Amino acid sequence: MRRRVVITGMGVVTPLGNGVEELFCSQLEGRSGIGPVTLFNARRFPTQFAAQVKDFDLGRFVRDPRRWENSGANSRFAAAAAQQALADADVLDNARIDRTRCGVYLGSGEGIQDFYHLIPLVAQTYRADGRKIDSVAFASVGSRQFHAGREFEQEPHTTPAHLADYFDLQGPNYNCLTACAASSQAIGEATEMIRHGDADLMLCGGAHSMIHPFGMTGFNLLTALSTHNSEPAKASRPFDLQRDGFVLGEGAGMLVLEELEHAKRRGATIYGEVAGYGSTADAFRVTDSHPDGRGAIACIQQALRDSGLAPEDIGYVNAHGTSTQVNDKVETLAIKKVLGDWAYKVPVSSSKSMLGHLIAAAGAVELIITVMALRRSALPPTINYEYPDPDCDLDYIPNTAREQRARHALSNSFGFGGQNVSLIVSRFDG
Amino acid sequence: MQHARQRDARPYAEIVGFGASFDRGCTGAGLARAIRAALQEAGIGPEEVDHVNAQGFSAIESDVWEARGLEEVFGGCKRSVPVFAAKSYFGCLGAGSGTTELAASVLALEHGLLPATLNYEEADPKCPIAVAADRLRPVTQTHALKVGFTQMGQCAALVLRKW
Repeated sequence: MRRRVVITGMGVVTPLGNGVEELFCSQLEGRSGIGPVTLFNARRFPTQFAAQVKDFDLGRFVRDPRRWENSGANSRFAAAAAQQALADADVLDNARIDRTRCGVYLGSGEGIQDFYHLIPLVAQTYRADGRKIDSVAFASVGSRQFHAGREFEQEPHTTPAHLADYFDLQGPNYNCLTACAASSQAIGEATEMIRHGDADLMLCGGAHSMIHPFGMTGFNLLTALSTHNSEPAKASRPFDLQRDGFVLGEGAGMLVLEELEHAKRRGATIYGEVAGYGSTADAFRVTDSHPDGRGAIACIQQALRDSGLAPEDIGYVNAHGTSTQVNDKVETLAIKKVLGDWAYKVPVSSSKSMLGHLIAAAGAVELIITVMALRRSALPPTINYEYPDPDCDLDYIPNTAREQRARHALSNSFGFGGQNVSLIVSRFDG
Repeated sequence: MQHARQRDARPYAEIVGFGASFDRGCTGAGLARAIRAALQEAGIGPEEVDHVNAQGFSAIESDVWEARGLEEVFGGCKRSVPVFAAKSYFGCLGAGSGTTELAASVLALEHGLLPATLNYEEADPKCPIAVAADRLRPVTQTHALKVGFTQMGQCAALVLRKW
């Protein structure tokens, strides 16, 4: 029999609170974490709002926040969420755990974007006559103005390396960069590693912030962001007929996954079990979902097969539900295709209606919400659901949370680029 | 493998072992742990490794801790296991390094010849390993080991078997 993988710790930094309890309560209350951008002046941007993390103080979570002063938001959010998850699982400074059997698998976004040093440097060394950078001047000014520590932080492998070093996790150490599917993929792959015996415990999840001028411009150019500037809190409206794009968010979600017997032996609290994992690619266009949802369908099917469950066993679906025209339509189609008639009976909701889209971190944060929903028998709603879309005809738990018991839940994450991940989590009853 | 056989694909080599670790403090102990895990999965001892395809950054510190990690695994071998560093030919391809360098070992196993490491002229006492530098060497064993790591400590080790 294969090794079973359970969840023994969780931590978050999100636009709706920097702790799991606060996040989940906000979700049940249907509160929006979306508001005007304050990280920079976005007045002339097509989209002027986002879901920003609030009141974040790294010093509340780690002893020496100065250690992270060269890091970007990614690593800082990751450190805070990891500290919560590891403390929750009683892994912090726990000498009875073999640290060489503990690894890290993140879906953490690209590192810090050091615009504040790069842009003045480019401005100083740009030669308008030749329309190019004077590379001789660039080299001499750059070597004085760039900072070795900060440059290093741009590399995508630094976040998991920081966590391994700081929290003493000497097992396998990875980061995967599959955009919106990244942290779900990290959880799925970490599950496989524990099943395979490569580790007994994995810290996994994601961290990301793209709320900066380049990130906003990039998504605006792709026409992926909502431009509902008059009422930001109503902009993220997954499955609603008037949806017009996603809302950019930021944050981190971390889980401690552990082999069941390892967790039992040390008397760890078990929050749930990772029962199924599916991963596919649309193999279609880099910025569009396949219109028939072929990748999404195969992905949900794979997760279901991996879990050994039937469609009727799934009691809740935490959707990717980005609030873009295409995703919500194709995801609905895929759920119906795989779950059949049961699709009309199972409640489906999108955490993004309140949280916005945390990009690489989205999947991990949403899985944590899903685990809490199973534990508390309370399903968070999809807010801003006002006008039904004939193409989106499932039960999206409109606007108010629902008390409902579920034993197994499906969580989807579909990446820009066509990467799809589905995870199935179950309540743990022993 | 069955899939490849059924469609008559031509296998170059078989991947028989893999290990990953984080070498906290870059001491070489974590690298050795990844290598031992890979050898264990492959079901072979260090003597059965024809050659080590090293990370070999050509950087002062990292070559030292890599050598320390290799020494920890191969130091007790009766047979001296040669170490080959492909970066001496084409530098560091960043994230593309591991796969590109692995190809050198795949071809070495296939052709029965291991290329020499370039520019190895003076042995460093801090790197007590047998760098394969002077000549093309005949391949005598069926397995090769590829190691890779980052300067922050992420380590990977892969064992190939000749097809």
